[in-house]
Amino acid sequence: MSSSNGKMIRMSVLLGVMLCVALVAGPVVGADPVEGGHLMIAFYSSIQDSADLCKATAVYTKMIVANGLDTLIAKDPATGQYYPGLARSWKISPDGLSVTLVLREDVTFHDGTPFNAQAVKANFDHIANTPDCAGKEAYSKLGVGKSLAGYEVLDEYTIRITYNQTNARMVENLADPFVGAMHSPAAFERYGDDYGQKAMVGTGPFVFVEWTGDQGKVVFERNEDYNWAPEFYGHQGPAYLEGFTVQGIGDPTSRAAAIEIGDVDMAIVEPTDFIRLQDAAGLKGWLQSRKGWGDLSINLSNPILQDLRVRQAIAHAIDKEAINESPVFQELGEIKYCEFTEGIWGSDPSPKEEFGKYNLDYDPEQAMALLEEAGWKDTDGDGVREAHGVEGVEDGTKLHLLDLVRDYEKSSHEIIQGMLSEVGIKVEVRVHDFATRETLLFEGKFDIAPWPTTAQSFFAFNEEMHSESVPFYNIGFYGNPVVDALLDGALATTDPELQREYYRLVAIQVLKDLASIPTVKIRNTWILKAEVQGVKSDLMSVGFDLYDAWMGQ
Amino acid sequence: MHRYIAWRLLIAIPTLLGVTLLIFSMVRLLPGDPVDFIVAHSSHAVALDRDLIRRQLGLDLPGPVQYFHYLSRVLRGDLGRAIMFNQSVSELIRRELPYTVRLAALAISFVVLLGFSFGILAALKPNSWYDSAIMATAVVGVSMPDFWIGMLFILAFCIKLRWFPLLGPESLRILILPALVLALRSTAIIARMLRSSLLEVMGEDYIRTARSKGLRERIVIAKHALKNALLPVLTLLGLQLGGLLGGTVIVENVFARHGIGYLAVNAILQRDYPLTQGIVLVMAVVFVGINLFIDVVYSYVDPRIRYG
Repeated sequence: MSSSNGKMIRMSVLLGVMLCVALVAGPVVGADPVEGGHLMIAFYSSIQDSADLCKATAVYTKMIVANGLDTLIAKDPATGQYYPGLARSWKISPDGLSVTLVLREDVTFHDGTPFNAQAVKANFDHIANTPDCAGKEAYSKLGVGKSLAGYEVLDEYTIRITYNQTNARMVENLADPFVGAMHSPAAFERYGDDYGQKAMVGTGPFVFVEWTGDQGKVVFERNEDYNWAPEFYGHQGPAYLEGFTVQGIGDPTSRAAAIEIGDVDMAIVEPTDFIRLQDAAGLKGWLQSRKGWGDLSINLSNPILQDLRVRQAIAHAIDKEAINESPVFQELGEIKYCEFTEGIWGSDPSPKEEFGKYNLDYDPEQAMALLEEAGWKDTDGDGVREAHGVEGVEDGTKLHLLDLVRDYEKSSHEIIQGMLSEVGIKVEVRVHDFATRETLLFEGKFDIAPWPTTAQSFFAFNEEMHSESVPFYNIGFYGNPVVDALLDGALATTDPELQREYYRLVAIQVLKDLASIPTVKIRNTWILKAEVQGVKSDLMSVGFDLYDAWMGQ
Repeated sequence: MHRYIAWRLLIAIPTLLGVTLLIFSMVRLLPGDPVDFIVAHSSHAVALDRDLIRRQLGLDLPGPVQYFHYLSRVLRGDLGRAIMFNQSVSELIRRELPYTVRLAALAISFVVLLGFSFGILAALKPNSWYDSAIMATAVVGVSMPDFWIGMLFILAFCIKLRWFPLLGPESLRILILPALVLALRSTAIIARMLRSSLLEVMGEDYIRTARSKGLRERIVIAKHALKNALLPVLTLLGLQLGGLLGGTVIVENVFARHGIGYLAVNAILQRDYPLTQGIVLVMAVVFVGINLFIDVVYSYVDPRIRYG
């Protein structure tokens, strides 16, 4: 009997100790990474156009394919700092007209061929000479036919790129997968026109296996020889995951269902599904801030909107807090205070601290007073104001604005529509597909419209706000000589601090001119299985970087 | 019969030529072009050279010249190169078509199996409770949009009951749900049509004669009534097959499947002229083939029909 009691006590103590250990150890969060596992991801699409990035333009393609590539210069998505990548070092000439890259000597492509300066030259030749690449993003960023003067192999592991004019974007471009990611020249030869469709051979931590279309899947496996990760990553050597598959699922309900039933390990979902699933058993949420910007663009070619008071009235009528608290955003958006998100501008000081004072407060009374002052009055009592002595506008013209959106922007813009109707502005929210909307925007057939970019730095501001970019990219027909001069100045220097100051001044001027109105930017809402760890934002913050990712037990 | 088939094949040539001209013009009448889509889909972080891309795609040439180039390529068996996918159109269609054919084949099997069973069952005892139930269900089946039924099926059978997976390698199990959703509307239409057709035939004198001869009801229905009631149903079935191919657009999207329907929608949204033209031409060939097949089947079902 006593022996039996002793056994029971020992068992109880043992169980208690085990329980305590289990409680202290907790779930896999914070545990050491383990190797293995194939990560299944449900995303909007798999590769959308071509894994040969010089033929591609879609940002999702770039994000997915980047997991199998390395760039000449590496950029830490978290801090924006540049690090050695496939180039051990780089040196910009004092006049800013050339950059000399000294390459790593220990890198091989996935097909076993060596990486060297001739391979870099072959990649640039491929961008410049492949018909399907002409005019696209890689071609434009490399500066073919424009700012690029040439590139010269100095020795087996050194190459120099020269430009016709100071190129402030050269380092950023060499860190961008469109230009800076290196593909195997032997694979270009081997696959010809099919390169990018049937094969993609890079140097990165994952090896391309197959791609079955954008609604299909793209499969990558671990590169077992990988040992040249940029230093900002959490480890060296091969990736932890054995591989990953991105399954393109266009329908948001199906993406949520796929993670809910466990068919995938992570999925990008709608905010409503995020709220519902983030605390579900075995799942967790990941709220990903997107770097690019894009506010409410205003068509300044419209005489109605050329009056600053009308633009100020629109800004006063929009309640950003209310938009973010609406069922569309579920408080998951990022309230904007200038064109730049925190991912571009940084957090010290935050965009709110730096630019908040230049934003107009939500004040419908002030909005209505401004409209009255500008000659917009509702004399017939139908709730919509009409022109009375407004310059360039026929008397009696209703204050009616056309807002061109894509289907996924409709709900949030209907909220803005409601807010503007409160002050007597009637907004028609019209939904168009991508190509139609783009055409109408470039033709100036709109009054207000969301105009997003997935830029990873300030430089895209030059395309969006410079008067020379009208009507392509500068869709609002905005032109301010001061802003033009500041934007030109930013591109004429390679000093990052000076560039930042130029862009700060541009952002302030754009806010004062109300060329566009900061509103709320949606964040990516991801649901992951609890055991998925270490997934990081990619360079553009539209998706994932999986090198440090791992799956717990 | 052979002469008739040869004649039908011959007149298919101007039909298909008309299709090429029609679709060539229609895609170009839509606002925007492939370059607009490429720009819209890019990061907007750097200005793309729109004129150079347009030149590269041959879109700077006059419309008639573009059509002549397109037609001469088609006559050589070359459907061109898809703009976004940077791939041969023929290869893309060859890759995607089997997925749609498998889905449509299983769906049409469901339509025949369920549509015929329910139609006959309802016609056997008109105005009975199960006739009313079948016809009421058929009204619901015809009225509910595919995407809605698809989402309901996913919710019920994938998420709640976990009977079927949503994603996974191509298999019969993964095909069943999308095929059922695709088949539902056509099943309802066929069941209703067969019921009314059968009821009409069952009132004919020769059916009374067959019964008076003492034939068993099963024989009367299967051998005498059904064969005559089938003719209008066959015409409808041919049309439904075409409809099923069109319906794959929605179902392939909801169930995250590959296929020609999904590819077609993407091609149109992307203003991918060569891909849209290629898919429509292939679909037109399929439709012409189905119509011809149905006409041939007519003559076997009803020996009175003779083509000459």
